[in-house]
Amino acid sequence: MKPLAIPSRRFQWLRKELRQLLPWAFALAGVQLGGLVYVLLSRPINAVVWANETPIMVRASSAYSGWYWFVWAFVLVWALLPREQDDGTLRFLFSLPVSRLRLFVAKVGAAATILFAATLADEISRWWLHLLNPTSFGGNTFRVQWAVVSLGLTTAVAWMGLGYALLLSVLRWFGIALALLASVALQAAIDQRADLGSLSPGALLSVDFHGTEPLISWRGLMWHSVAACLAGVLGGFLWLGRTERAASHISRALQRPAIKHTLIALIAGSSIAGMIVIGSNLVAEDTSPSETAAHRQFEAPIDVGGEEGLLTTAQYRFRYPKGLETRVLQLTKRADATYERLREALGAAVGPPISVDLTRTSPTHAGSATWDTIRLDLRHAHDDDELLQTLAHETVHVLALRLSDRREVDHDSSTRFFSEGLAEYLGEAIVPSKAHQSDRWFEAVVARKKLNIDFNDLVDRKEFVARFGESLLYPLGYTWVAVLVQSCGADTLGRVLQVLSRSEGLRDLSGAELWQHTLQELHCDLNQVRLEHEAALQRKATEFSKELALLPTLVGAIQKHDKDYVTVRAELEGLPIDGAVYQMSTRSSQAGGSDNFRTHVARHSKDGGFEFVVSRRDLKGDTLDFQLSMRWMRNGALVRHFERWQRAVIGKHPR
Amino acid sequence: MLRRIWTFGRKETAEHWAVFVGLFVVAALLALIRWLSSRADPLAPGQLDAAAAVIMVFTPVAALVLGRRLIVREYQQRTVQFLEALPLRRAEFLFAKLVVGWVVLAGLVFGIINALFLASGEPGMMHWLIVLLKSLGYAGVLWSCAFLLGLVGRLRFALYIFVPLVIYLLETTTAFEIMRFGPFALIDPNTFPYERTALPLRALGESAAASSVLVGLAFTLGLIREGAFAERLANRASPREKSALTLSVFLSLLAVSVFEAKQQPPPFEFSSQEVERSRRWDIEVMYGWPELAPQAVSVIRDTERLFQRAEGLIPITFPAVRIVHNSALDQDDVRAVHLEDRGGVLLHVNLGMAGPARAELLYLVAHDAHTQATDDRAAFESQHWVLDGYASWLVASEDAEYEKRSWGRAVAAMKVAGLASDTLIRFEPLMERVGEQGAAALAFAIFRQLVQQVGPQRAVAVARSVVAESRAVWSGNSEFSAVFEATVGKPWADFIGDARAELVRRGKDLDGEAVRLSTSKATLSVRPGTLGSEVFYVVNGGAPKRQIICQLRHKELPPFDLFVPTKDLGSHPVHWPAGAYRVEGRLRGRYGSGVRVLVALECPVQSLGSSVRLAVSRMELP
Repeated sequence: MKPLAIPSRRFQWLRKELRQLLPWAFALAGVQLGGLVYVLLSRPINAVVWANETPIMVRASSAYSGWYWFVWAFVLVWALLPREQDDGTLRFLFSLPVSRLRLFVAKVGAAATILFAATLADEISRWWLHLLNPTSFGGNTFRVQWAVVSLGLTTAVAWMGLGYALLLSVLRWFGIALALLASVALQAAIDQRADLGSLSPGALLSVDFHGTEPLISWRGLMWHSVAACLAGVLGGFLWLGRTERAASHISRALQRPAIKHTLIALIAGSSIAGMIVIGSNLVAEDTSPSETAAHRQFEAPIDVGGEEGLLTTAQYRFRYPKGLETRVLQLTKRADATYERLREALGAAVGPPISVDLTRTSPTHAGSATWDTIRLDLRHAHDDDELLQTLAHETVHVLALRLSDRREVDHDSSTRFFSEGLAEYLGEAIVPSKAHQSDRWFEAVVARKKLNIDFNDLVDRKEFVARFGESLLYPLGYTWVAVLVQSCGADTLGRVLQVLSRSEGLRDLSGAELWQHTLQELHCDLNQVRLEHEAALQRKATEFSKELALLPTLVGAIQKHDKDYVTVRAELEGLPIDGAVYQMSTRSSQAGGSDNFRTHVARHSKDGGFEFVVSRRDLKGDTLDFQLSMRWMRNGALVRHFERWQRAVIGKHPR
Repeated sequence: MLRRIWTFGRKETAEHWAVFVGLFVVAALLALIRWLSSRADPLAPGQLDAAAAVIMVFTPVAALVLGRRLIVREYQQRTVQFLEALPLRRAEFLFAKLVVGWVVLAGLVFGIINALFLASGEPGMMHWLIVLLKSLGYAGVLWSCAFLLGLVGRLRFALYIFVPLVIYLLETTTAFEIMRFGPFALIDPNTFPYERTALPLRALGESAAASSVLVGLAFTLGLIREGAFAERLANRASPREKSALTLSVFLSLLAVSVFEAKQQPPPFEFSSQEVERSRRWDIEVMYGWPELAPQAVSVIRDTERLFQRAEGLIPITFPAVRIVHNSALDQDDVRAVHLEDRGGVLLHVNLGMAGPARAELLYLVAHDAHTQATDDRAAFESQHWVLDGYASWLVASEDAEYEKRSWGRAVAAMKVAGLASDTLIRFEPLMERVGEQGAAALAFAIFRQLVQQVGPQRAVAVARSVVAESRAVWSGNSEFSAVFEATVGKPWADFIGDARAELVRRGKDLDGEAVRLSTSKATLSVRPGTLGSEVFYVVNGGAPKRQIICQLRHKELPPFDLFVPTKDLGSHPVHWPAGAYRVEGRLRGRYGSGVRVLVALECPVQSLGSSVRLAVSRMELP
């Protein structure tokens, strides 16, 4: 019988582990190669731009890239250790005259080598692809410094994945369950506290830039590296250490019902307890100096509290705080008639009663609506008419959902301005007010004139919100709907929704193309409406010319910052408006979402400017996204003007 | 028989109770997390939308876990052979497992729904019943699916991917809508927690039918050849099989993505009554008001003449051309609207204005039609000037006024940017330096000079090599020079020298205003101000005879450089009073520290019908 050949040379163990991982290495190479082929097939080869393909340069893809490498790290570790144990070959390895440390190094080294080779190949392929682009800009976006940062961070994240996977693999499926639970809990926490974003290893690839210089989160990188190293060493110790292969014991022990059940209970119990603690901490988080206590309490929706009452009319079912019954009764008296008028205006059939919840408040919205359901914030409306108008606005949303058979939601990016405009327009018809009407036109004219917004901006909601915020959709949508009615007839509104309810032909369309086809079915032309809208805004601009000439511009920039707060200074260019309130909104999502959306009220400074103080807890990374706005009373009603959303990098700003 | 099944069910429960409890705990945890975030969501109409998220996400996971515990494990560990030795028919123990799994999953769903209804305080028994039935219908299909997948052994990993892929393909290539079908319609997040009166009978029926089919398939698989087939499939996949599977799944996804990317939308169509159409080509002009009908007819006629001429020179398939009257535009303003892929060319112009807009419109029609006909290759940087020059020449050869204006713009552009042998090859920096109109005018001057020197046929041959033959992109100055010399018979550098001389000669024809403005010097810099860094501009030069309003164009840049079209830039007016030799000002509070900005200063020149870009800079605010 041939004696067993024991590898003696230093790298033979590494080679053995690499051989074991070869199928997965091929799979990884195949996936990477497939990605390359996709780029080659989906666009002209000489139009590939390095910077647009590199995760650290494109925020939207950086987090996905981080998790992608994490998944591969887990796959490799699972193929190295749990698989060996399942096959019974781990026991065989321990019987060989090789140190445990060498075994550990070989296994981790093999996985790390494959991951590094993959990230390196990824970088090289991107670099190679961009060489084919000879253009002055697209072909010259590559910088060695950025490529090194990209390679370094990607490899670091992949290796961190190895460390965490080594420890979690000891717990097998429980480990994966734990990782998933941790990521869900982390995401919930980040939703509330933007600064916790650095706890997510995937976020390490989301790099802010100060000009062209990448601002690497060294602190996050260091903490994750230390944590991953500790997890890796502990995992290695448990799998391969001198504790009689603790991991094998744990794996076996996990099969024992008593231990398994205790563990399940412990994990679940501690997770629940942890979540409750996190949740209660988040609710009780402190405030920044610029925010009054009264303002801060409206950051999240709150229950009005007290005893609740139920009141049913023919078309609505109201749930309200008993303490405000008198006010709600005023609303319910006119609710059914309002419903009927709106239903007739849209040509909708009578549907089931709409459930209206008046028991909760919202910091940002006077109401919200979905299928057969409305939430109204009693606090937002100053009088009964305004409350009725809000109810009408939300009822229109409910009716629009019914009429479009929910397809309005499918096309939300292209139709949101219409949806809000429609609700504003019909809400206005219920409680007519010339002042309100004039204010909506004024806001739209100011937006058109100062921000140069046109129809193409309106039909791309994500981009619109990223640049101008959500609030401007309302006045611009209102004026567009008013012109649509003038141009195509009053019955167009309901018919637009009916056309949207048909799936044929429209499903894959978006933007101006969707609107062109929708209106075409109604024998109405989008371009006709567009040019009439432009003409109407111009007419109104002439009408408001005196006011527009006096309207100031609000400009601002970071003034100072420390580890807890960032102070933004704002100034008016032009004369101040009597009684105006100046505000600043912040968010943590550059993509234009409403993540960690906060509104801050101005503090007047001695030299006539304004100051806004933002807690760094509300910021993700080193970037501050902010929008300045002002609101004032015009013709007895509130009007608002929003400047564009701006971005400032805090990282290298002098303190 | 029922007794045997009952006893077997108790055995299964005793064996897997910890997993069942674990699932209940995890479900409670997820429901709690989701409920908390729903409470914190300022837009959530109610707290019940937590139910949709939890049921939608957790039920499939729970079904898969149960499928693994009750079916896969049994087959993988070969303990199914012990079951076969029990006094039970094969169908009976499969049925018992089906029932146990279903009861657990239904219990989970029941618990989640009840907990969330209690937490949200939603009243209404009917509402509760509808939500519960919808959840149970959804869970039923999922459990049937997991049950079947459990019996297909190692093939289940492939099915996890391929089934969604097939559904996705069905969704994208046919009229089938998955979210409107059976279990998915039941769990539609838009309606799931909010439907209070109507029971979705159709979706429930579809779900019941789907469950029956899946269970039927599962039993067939579990029973054929006395269960041996299912047992054989239960062998674990080797790493090679898993690797091959991962790869094939990825490649399938890739194929689907590429297939999707290649799908072309139909061309843009007008529906208005006020539309004038060409009989020969796919050209439409939407004029909006009846009094503009004659102008629309005239635009159609001019565009037809342009196409007719262009077709004789370089045969291409012209895309659909749509022209829209837009009263908000100035007389020399034409706006191109980007349409997806081959949706056609859509241009806005003010038909009511007499003036240079007609020629600008025809230039853009020629330019965009050739660009689209070559899948954008003609507009690639090193050969973009050929496209611009050829398109301008096509229009200018029929419009002397446009030709004169183009020469004037070209002279002004040369005064600003100079003209060397690589100026046109590096067309994107040129467009940034002098603006798109200035660059197109310079391209026109070079193409016109080419026509002058070698005749239209050989000049058009250069354009044809770019536009019609879709040749490989010239990778740089030297390659282009070689191609040029081979086609024209003259070195490129010599030719540029001649063109420069011609432009200098024509510079004498420029009017005083154009000369004064194009020789004015502007500087752009960053200075500290009360609102951090401010963009500071200074213009020194010939005092205009009347006040003009220049524009400081600006836009935030990413960390890297890409070409930014003028239409994407914001504007800040700069008033230049009559007779002033120096103008200065600043743009403040618009961009924060650490941001990169593209800034350009442009002043309008009436005689050229365009602006002269005096300075441009990519700057970083400290």
